[in-house]
Amino acid sequence: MGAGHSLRPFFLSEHIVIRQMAGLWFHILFAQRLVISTDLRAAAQRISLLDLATLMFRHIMGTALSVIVVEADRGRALQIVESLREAGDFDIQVISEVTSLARQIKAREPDIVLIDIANPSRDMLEEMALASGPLERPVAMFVDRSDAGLSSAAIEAGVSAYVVDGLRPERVKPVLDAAIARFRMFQRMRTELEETKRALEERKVIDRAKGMIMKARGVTEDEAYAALRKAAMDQGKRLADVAESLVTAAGLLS
Amino acid sequence: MKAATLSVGFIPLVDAAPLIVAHEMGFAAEEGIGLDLRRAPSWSALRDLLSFGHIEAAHMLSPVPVAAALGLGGGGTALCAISMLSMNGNVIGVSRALGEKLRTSGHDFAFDDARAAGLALIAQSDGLLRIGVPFPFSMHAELVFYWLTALGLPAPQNVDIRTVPPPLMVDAVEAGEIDAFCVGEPWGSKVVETGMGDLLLPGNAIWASSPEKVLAVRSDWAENEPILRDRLIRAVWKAGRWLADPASRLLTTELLSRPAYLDLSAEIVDRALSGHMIISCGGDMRDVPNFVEFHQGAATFPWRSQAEWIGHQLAARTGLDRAASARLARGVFRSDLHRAALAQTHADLPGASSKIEGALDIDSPVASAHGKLVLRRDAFFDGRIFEPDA
Repeated sequence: MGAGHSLRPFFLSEHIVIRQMAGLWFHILFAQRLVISTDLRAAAQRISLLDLATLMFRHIMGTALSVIVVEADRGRALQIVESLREAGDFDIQVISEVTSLARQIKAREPDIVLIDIANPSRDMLEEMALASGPLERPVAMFVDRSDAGLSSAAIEAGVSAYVVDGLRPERVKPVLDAAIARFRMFQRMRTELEETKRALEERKVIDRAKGMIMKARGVTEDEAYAALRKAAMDQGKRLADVAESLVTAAGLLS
Repeated sequence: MKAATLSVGFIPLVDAAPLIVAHEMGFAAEEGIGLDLRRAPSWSALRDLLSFGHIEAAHMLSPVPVAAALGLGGGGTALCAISMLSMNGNVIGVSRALGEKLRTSGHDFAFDDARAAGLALIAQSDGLLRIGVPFPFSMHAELVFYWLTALGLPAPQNVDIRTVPPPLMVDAVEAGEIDAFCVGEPWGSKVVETGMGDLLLPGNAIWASSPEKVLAVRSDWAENEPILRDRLIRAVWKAGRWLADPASRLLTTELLSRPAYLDLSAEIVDRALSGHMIISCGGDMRDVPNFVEFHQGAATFPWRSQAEWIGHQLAARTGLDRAASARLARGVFRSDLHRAALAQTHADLPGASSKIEGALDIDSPVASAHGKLVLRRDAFFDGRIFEPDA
């Protein structure tokens, strides 16, 4: 009974307090350069003080989207984090150890999870779409909801994103855009590396083939190269392929 | 005529064989199509590649397109199964420690009695039994749920079934994160090879003819590309017929073991194909008839009743309406398209598109196009049957 009485004065002045607090709140938010929608102020007059305090706390402390990056390679993880930081104010955590991945993620309650599409551990995240206990926030792939173009771009770039249910697409977009750009860069780097490797391999084979021709025919390096190139043109094949078959054939004969 | 090339995704497993053989042995070329086979890193990645049109068809866990139709899990694109790729092919295994306990308690590892093995497992597990499966929507998960629930150990109260990608299964067993697992070959044999665990049962000891992998395509693709679709169905059916010939086995193991496909020793690949399973690091061997089937008993036929069974089980577990889910699921397995594509071939397909699942306790002849079809035994270990709605 005492508790009821002590709460009473609060209720009497509730309206004014809320108005004052809403004003204060607006200032705090404004000072923090955060967006506030006008309907929030209207809504504030209908909700209890406790709710308002919770809401305020969440808005001030928790506006930044929480993003988890699942990436075992430290260098890559740092680059992804850096890209995200440039894109906005996010609360970013990296998970590098995939043991009990779903559990680790659930414990941290993120808004968004980013994971390399080539990571076999990704299947563990699918479980989260099913978990729908009363306290659990269902997580779904962003892709099946709103922006098919964006998700398709993400898949092409090699990143998949899991997003908590109900998060507005426009809040997700900057995160995805940044991740996509970074993963595209990873992809380019990988392609370049492969290309360089291949070019080196080919040059080695061509050099060996040249050496064999020089030795067998007693010609100069330029002449050996010319012979190889002519053979390639005559057969309509790539120089490296002709060199490769020469080296293979020589290996069989020796 | 320039052959159209279809991009087809697969996961490096023994039951990707029909796609690999269709490509390597020229069955696709015979049908005037080329196959660009792409190895995918995970089931979710493979499903997304298919859903977003980066590939035309995929080697897929049979419950995945059904789950998509029920709105479960990621990926909102409608998918359908135009063929079954394989029947059976999974194994259930236990950690070394649990295997030891089972042996000490007197379990004989007969490898054919799901009831005895299940009861022994339940008796030896203290508290919560943790079982790893490759994907939440998989026949692996369905078989484990069915098996343990029937033995009086309902999930999730007493069983924790978690997703562990097969390449990480050995680590998970070693780290003591799971007590048991259900995986497709060659992963079970790999666990045995590393000495981390023993095999307890083949999947077909739980359900004698379970629909394992399907050939999945986007439903709109199936409608819009009837010619390519039919060619693909025929190419894969021919590959299955070739695989069923015992003379093909040697070449099949060599093909599958190549670096571009499973990248494993041919000996390990051969265990599933021959049904000669090595179940412990001591080298104990068990012969499993019909360990995995690609052709016999109309193995490629996508039974609507099997889709219904999957839909019913998924619904029961996720709290969806069972009848409605079964109805939605039925439309996912396109027995009509499968039958139409094979109409001009020697394929002897069943006259019906649905059957009572679990009713055949022995191989049994049934009405079929050429009158020679014998369906394989399809009993559940507990003798129950599943009656489809239509």
